Amino acid sequence: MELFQALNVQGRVISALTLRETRARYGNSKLGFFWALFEPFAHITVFIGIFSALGRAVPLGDSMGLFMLTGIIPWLLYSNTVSNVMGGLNSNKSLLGYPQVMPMDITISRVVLEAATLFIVMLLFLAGFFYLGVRIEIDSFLQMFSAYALLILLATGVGLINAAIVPIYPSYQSIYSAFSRPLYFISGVFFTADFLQPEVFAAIDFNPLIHLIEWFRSGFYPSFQSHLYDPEYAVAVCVSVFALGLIVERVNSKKARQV
Amino acid sequence: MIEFQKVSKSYAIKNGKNTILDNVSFTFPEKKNIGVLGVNGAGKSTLLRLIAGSEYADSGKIIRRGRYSWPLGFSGSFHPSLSGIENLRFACRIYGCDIKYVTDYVKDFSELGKYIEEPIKTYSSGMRSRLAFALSMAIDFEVYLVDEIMGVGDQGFQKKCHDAFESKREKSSIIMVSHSMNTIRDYSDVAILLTGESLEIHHDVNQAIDLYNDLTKA
Repeated sequence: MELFQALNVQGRVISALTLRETRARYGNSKLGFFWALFEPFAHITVFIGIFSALGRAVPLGDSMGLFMLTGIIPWLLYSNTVSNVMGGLNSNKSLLGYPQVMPMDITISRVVLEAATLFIVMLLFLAGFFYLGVRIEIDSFLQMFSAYALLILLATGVGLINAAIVPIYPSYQSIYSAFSRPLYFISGVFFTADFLQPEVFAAIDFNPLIHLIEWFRSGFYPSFQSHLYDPEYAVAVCVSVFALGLIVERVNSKKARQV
Repeated sequence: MIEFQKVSKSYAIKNGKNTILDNVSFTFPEKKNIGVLGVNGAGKSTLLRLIAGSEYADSGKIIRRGRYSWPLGFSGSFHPSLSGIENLRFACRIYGCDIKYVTDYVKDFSELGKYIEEPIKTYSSGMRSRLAFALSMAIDFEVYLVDEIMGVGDQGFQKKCHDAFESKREKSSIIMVSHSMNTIRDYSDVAILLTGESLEIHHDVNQAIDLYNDLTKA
């Protein structure tokens, strides 16, 4: 009974926080949700431009737009979730004055909002491509969903760990963003792993993102099954980073409540 | 009902630590209005936050039965960039209250007028306390935890608060922190004096105030 009550309270808190986050992000400016569409749109058009200027063929399938979409959505899911989880406590600190609001609730609501946003963005883009006459066939929703879920775990874990380090070493914030920016270029957003020389892939295959993006694309394209990604490695990294994030959060959240 | 079992709480400061409670076991008297006294830094606000559950003890156990408000204070639980209405809706959602009823009550009680649509960061401290009071009155609590904001605002509003508490007297009580001895005298049945490590209860409020005055002179 008590557990049920506690879950009920937590459910109320998380849904209230999710509503508040949604309003804060999309309710205050006139353009609102347009910005959520703009970022993937910018990436996609830039790469369509680059590839056609270089006269390169589409790496996979026959639509460059579709190819970029299936790379940029997982990438943004990762990088946006990390920064939203990192910034969550600071922008909601006052709400912790309510005893039933836990730091973890803030994290959960931000992750839910990000995952839902990008899912909707992806559907809108797919609808747009379909309207433009691009043929869309999806191989396995389950595979896509698995990669999507693992990306959420990984990003939440990294975000929680970062959120705990920043108050101790404030300069860590800029170090993290300096190191994470090049990640974009080695995560397979605009190429597939089999484009790379084996030695090159061997040098970057520690990066779980390239495995997850390959996984995501393998789920999307019926004609594509990457043999280079290692699902066991990806699962192991995501689950352990997430677990570490939760441990760190427990220690950090006690401190977060002190004013 | 609120009971402290071997509760310790301290803060790390530059040189060592500031102890607020050291292994304190204490049961707060029920259905009594309690005024908390203590010099600056003795931990009055922290005590309220511990009672509310907004902050955790370093060790020991706090047992709480009944509906306690959040600590009603200036720094508050309000999100500075959300409007009064948005903050109100948030509170309604997490306490599971009827938004329509609470909105009407707060609009009427707080007299904030158009400001209720403005972000909290544009509020004066008087306006913040009016919103906090109105909102907490609309949500029924058994114990109201009031941090300094009593006695803020004009006479008319003070009277309103007094009357609202008076009408809730049967069901609700107050635990309050205030620097105004008049407010403490007005509201409290008993007083708790924070000494910097422990707390003492005084059933004679005036006697506690005298002791407190001695402490502040020393």
